[in-house]
Amino acid sequence: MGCQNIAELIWPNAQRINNFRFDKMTSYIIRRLLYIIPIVFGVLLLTFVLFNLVGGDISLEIAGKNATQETIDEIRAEYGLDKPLFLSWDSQFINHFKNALTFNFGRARDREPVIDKIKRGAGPSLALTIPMFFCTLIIAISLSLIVAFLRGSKWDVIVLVVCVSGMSVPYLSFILFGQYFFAYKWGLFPVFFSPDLAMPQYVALPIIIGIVAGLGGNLRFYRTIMLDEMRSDYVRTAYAKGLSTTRVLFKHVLKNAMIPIITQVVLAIPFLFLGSLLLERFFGIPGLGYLMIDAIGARDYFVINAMTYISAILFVMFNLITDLCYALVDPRISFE
Amino acid sequence: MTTTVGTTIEPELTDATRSAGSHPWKRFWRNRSATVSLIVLGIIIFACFGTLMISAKEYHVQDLNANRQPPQLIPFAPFGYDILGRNIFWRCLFGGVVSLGIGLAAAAISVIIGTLWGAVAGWYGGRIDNIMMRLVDVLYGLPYILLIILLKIAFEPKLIRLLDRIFGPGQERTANIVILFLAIGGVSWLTMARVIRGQVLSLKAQPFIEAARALGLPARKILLRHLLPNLVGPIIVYATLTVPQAILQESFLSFLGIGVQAPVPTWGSLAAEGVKAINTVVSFWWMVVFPSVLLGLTLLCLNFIGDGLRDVFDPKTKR
Repeated sequence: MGCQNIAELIWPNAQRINNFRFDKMTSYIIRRLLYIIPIVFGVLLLTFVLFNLVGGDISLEIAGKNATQETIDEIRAEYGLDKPLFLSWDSQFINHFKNALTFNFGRARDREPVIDKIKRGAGPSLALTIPMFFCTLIIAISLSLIVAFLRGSKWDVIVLVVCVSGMSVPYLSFILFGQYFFAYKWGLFPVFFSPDLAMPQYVALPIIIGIVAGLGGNLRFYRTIMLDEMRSDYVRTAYAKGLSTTRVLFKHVLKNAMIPIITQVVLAIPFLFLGSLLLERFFGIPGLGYLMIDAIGARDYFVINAMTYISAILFVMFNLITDLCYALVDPRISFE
Repeated sequence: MTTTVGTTIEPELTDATRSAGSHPWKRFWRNRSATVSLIVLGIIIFACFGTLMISAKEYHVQDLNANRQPPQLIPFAPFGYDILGRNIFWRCLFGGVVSLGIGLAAAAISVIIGTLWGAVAGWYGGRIDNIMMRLVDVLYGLPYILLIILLKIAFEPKLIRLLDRIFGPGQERTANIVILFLAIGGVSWLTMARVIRGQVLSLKAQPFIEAARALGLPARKILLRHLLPNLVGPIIVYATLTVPQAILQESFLSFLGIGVQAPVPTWGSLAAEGVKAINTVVSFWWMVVFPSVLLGLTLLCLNFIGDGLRDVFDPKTKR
């Protein structure tokens, strides 16, 4: 802040000051990019320690109980487990990092490269989670504005109770209810995935169920944000100077609520990539959630490892994007 | 000196002059949904833990003649029987003990680790804060479900071997439950650490802490005597909200088939077992409905109590 004032004294030219801010922003971005390195390093170290040092010898588990020493050795050679753990350029430790940085995750138990599996699963998963996420978001934000406006009234209480009830109903119940009535009883949607169905057909019902199940928690969260804003002094001022309610709500409250909303939204995006474990399992959708469940069941460490790493990378990237969004939306944030 | 000041001021503080904040519990009792929830939750907890002596023996008893029998009062099976002819009533009660136990264990772990972690990071600041909170960031970056699975894969075989050596062979079941307790607890302290750190940062700047420092109190005393009492509110609120989350996470793992292993029941695994028994010809509704309702009711109560406590301790969310 001090620096900026001095800059203003020396160059009372707005353009210059903007440049000055821009320069600071560039250096801020570079510093934040450097920040990613230790976090990615931490994630890789954590997965290495958990899988290799604590988890024990994976090859024994892959080979099964009655395997001969020969098979075990073959498997060890194939996955590079015969190499030394540390202390060599070709050690498992170095290879773990090398493979992660080049997105080479090896082959899954069924010999298919892990990266191919992930590429194939990403489509159905994102087709499920992206519409689900944004529909929930739009509905929750518009409803939360209304509810926050009616705060303390009968409707507010009813909506809150419904929200908390919705949060408390086990996810499985929503799925069962939807699957039984909408798909099985009334035949509006296919009950289960089958390869000859078009994508919109088999993701429609899971999306609806996901929206209904997620709405309670989201609505309650955004209501709290909106209420915080509505109690602020600037809202009272806006009313006092005679602005209409719609103008106050949309021009002032919604705009100021954008900062916490952006955080929530941007940080939720990387998790969309993981798909929805339960929905994909119960509707048989061949996405990344399904891939994960299969991998957990088969103890396929290579798939789990790859998914962990990719989701961590995405999370860190989007974390950075949130911080940059802050800086763009809120001029009060300094880049020190 | 201080005692005389205290005695002269105390009588003047009547109910009328006290601020709303000095009656936190009165405000809690005025919140009807929280009070009702507390009573309902009390009944559920009492029913689960009070009958533990019976349910621990009955939950795995099989009566193959009674399999898939609907709810009935004679013989006593108000929730019916499952596919293997086990009495779902006793399984629900015993499952409740396990589910609530997981919730409480997670809350306890998150209170201990989260509070210490957040308080130390916030108090010392600077580089220590930076390193500690980056670690929290790393763990936040991993989806919690993956983290639980990683912890389970990594530590379960070790723990089984360790327990076998101590208590003799056949400890898989104990190891499975302990790992789940630890894994779910191990991911639930992150939010607590962040909240507590924020609180400590704002408290640190307040005059009474400055005064304590100026008086030369050692850091340990300031943390225990002056900071901790001011942190009790957020700790209670977030611990209460951790319990339903942990129970939900366990049920989620059970739905996926990687939670507490059979025959030990939890509400989540009971519901998941019930789902498996459903087919298109006959639906054995009692196998799904009773555990789901118990699970939902408990979560509902815990969420309402958590909200009520937050209203009490955080004056910002007052209506």
